[in-house]
Amino acid sequence: MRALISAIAMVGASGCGLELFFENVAHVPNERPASRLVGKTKFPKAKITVTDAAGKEIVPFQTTRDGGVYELRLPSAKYSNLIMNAVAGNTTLQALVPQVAEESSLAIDVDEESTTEALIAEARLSADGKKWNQVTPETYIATRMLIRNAFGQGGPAADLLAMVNRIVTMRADPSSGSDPAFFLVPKLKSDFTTISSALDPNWVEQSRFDIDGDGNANATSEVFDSMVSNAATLYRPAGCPDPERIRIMFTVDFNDGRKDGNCATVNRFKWATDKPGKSMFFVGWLHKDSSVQDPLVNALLGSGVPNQLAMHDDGLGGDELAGDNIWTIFFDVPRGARIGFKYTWGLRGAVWTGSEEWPGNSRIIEAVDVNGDDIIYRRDVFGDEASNKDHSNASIYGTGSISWTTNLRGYGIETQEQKVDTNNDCIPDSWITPTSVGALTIACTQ
Amino acid sequence: MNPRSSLTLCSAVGLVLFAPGANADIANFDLSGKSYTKFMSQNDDTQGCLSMSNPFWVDNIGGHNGVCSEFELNIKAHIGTRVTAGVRLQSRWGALWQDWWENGDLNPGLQNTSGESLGMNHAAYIKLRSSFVRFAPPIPAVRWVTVGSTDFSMWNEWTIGKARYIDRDNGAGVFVEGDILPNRLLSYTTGAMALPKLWAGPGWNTGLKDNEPLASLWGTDWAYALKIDSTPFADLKIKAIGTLVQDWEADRYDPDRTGTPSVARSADHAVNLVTRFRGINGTVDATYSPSKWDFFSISGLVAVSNNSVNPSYATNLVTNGQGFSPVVFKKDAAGGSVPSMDFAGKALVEFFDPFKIGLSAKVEYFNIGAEYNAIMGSRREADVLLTDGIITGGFTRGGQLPTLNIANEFVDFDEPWYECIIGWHGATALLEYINGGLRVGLEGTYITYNTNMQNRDTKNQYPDFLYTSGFTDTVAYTSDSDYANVFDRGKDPRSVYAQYQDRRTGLVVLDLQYLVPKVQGIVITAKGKLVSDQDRRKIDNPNDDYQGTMVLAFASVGWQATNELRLSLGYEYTRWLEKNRTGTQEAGYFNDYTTRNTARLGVTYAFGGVLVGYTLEYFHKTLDRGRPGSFDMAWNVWRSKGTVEVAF
Repeated sequence: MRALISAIAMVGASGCGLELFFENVAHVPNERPASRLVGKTKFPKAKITVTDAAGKEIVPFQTTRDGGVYELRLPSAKYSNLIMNAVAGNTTLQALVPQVAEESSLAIDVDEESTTEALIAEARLSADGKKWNQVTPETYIATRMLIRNAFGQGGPAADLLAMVNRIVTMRADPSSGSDPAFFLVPKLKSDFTTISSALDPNWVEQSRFDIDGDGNANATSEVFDSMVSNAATLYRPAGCPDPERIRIMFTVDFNDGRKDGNCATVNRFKWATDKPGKSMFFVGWLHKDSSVQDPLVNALLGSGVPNQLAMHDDGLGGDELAGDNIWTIFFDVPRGARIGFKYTWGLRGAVWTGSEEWPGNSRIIEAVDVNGDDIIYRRDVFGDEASNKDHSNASIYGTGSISWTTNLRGYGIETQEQKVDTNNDCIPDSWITPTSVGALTIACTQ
Repeated sequence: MNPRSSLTLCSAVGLVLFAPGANADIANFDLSGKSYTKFMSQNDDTQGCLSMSNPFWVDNIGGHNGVCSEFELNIKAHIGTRVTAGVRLQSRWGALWQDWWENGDLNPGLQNTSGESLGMNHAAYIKLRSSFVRFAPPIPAVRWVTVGSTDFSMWNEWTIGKARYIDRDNGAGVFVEGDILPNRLLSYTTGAMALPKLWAGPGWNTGLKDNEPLASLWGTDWAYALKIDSTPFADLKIKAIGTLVQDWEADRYDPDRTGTPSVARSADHAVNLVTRFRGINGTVDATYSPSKWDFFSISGLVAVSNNSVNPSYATNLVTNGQGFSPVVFKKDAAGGSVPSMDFAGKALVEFFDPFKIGLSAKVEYFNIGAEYNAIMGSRREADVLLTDGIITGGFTRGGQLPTLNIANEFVDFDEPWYECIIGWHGATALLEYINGGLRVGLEGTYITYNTNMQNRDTKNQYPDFLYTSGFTDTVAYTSDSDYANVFDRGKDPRSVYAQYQDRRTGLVVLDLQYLVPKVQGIVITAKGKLVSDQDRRKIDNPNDDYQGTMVLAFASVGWQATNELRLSLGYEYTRWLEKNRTGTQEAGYFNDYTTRNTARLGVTYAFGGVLVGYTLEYFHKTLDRGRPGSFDMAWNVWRSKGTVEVAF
């Protein structure tokens, strides 16, 4: 036996994979990383769906239901501005999910309170002409707290919750085969009058339900709509502009044939080389001239390390149109921050050479909202050395370098937000306010 | 090398090689070479030097017209009395004599005059095919240690089988053998073998991402084996073999693979592995040959297999590969994956001319479980049962093997075929009579099937290999044009599972060999075979019953004309009457009839170190298909194969 053991030991010591057993034979496979949504639903058999703000469903890879308790495991990612719907028969209950982090778990019940909160937020956003995806998650979380606190203090929010409770308790029919009659997404005009109700008018007319509990049957949804409007006037889910920070969006046009600041066609690959698998990256840093010198902001911008921060051309991350070869990234930075930056066409982790727009020098921009929309939108053309390039600037209108106040081409200060040349005629013609994301806001009321 | 293993046997080998006492000298070298040339011809428009090449990845060496040569050089060094090392160098097969100039560059799809289009397959490059070191260290109970290439022949067909001829010594590992007790009372062989990434696992791979989207790791995959031999007394030999096939994959959700390497995420710069496939096989076999009854011998074998597939890392080809899978994807009632486990056994009793009249008898009982499967068992060139089997013919030899991984490719038309015996349950009786120059054998075999079952799940669990009924035509099969069975060649030899099966088979084989007296060197060989194969399929459907009858008559005359020259001429008649061979439960089943006449002329000439062989074959086959909308087919094929071998 000793001999057999020694023989096996010889084989085992040979690097023939036996070492792998030591660590792995008892290894329990890791669970798939997930962004989990957990909580309770009013109706145990309700069909729960999760969509993004554009209505695209995000399908959980695993769903667990135990009575009224649910767990949805979404593929691990950083989500923001999600909508949960729990549909049971004639009833849709809703919850707004401002953000879910990677590999995290967020508790959220889909019930009358979440639905009332969503009705108020959606109504107010429509009145403000805003969309859910333009809401800053942190801002909404604060707004949510205000609404939820109001549920216990009387007033329009509490009264609306009472109506929702009354409808759900007395009229919800989870076994109904009809389409949900309540609660739909309300739409309001800017003066808070109702465009479309959260209650299906046909259902209201047919059911003649006493919505507000005053003893009289309601043939219209007016009393409910009025309460939605009243509550909506009290909260601003989109928040108020952040007085200290501002969102700055960088976009770079990588299409062939684009013009530079001299109205000459840019050679995209003068310095950068192209090969399969490359994509656009942003690299920035706080400029030495900036009065703001915050290491966290510097890190946020990429700390000057190339090919780390991927830009989007996939319709996500603030990108307005997937596949148009205009790449996008945005940051929330202190107002007035002065930023140096470049775009690189590279592979993740690659060095400067072969990916940067040009060697040495950089683009510069100051975080100043010029057009007053509370968001800075900058459009550059990849490889344009005749616009906001700090030194060795090739502009025929300049002196080879620019300062923070240089109005190089007569279209405003070159290092600030500018109009965008949308038709490639070399004349900046339009201010652009992104619709994919909104301005950076903080919580506020009215 | 993983830092966890600081000392490898490789370094140990190095120490031994350079230790005092070892002596490298050119006089210690053995060099041997072999040149082999093959001439192929057939009345079709294919070109190449291999009758049946790779049926899955269609390569450019298969074809029926061309001449190819290869060269092999073996170098063996006796470094000392206790240390031997060797390598085998061989040219790549596939360069036609017509392939002038080909330099090995590949331009896929092109055939041009550049000499740079057909790739290394047609450049006859020399490749290192094997290398090994074998030494006998002065360690108690260790007789030999072998590091490097081997053919795995130290195990058996039910566990890890000898590699097929074309794979020969592609396999490599580390092996230790020795004696635990003296006088062969207890000996052992143990080894670790690198898993062949190309076939030893679900989907015929061990994790190649472009074949297996769920896996991508193969460098960690090994097989392990242990054999214990014992001869407790002279009449009894006992052997036990246990093998483990382990296919690892990286845990795809290991924190180090799913995000930032932060301690907060439990990342530790170490990636854990999970099992993609684990195959365990074991056998115990014994032979008792009492010396006082030298006419009698009894032997037996019991085997167990346990195959676990992790469907998270192995694509279910039962579902996604038209039922072509070398493993069962077994599930429990809840749909969870569970191991496929089963047993097998056989017992053979032999009487060697007990009455001293030239009459011997053998009886074998075999019972192979419905889910016994040796993923790395012998794939061909072996035979575990006594019976002639169903697949063999007159010219075509063959055998029976207990694996779904049978490989009937990379062969020429004159080579054997093998069939899968998973589920076979029955017995064979064989009488053999020898009198002077006459040898007569008579076999009777009856087989039922442990795989008989109604409504077996062949959609998700049990691979049916698509073609489940009928006899298999091994003669007309061509891998390049008939891989999808477009010519109705019949049952896939691996097809042991069917949705509905209630099958039994009986076969009788009479074979005869007669050395004609008074005429020097003439041997007459004849064989007759009758197979009755019945399958009631769906029991409550009386209209789907399969009844296949095979009638085979074969005769051959061989003449050793001179010491150097041998001639042979043979003829084979085959007739298959197959009622309800083809169809579906929904559309009904229809009859097929096959008739095949084959004639073959053989010449061998051996002179000095040269061996010349030539086989000329003609076969004519008709297939009358009964299903509506189908057409009848005929084969009218001439083909030949010539070989010239020189060993030096």
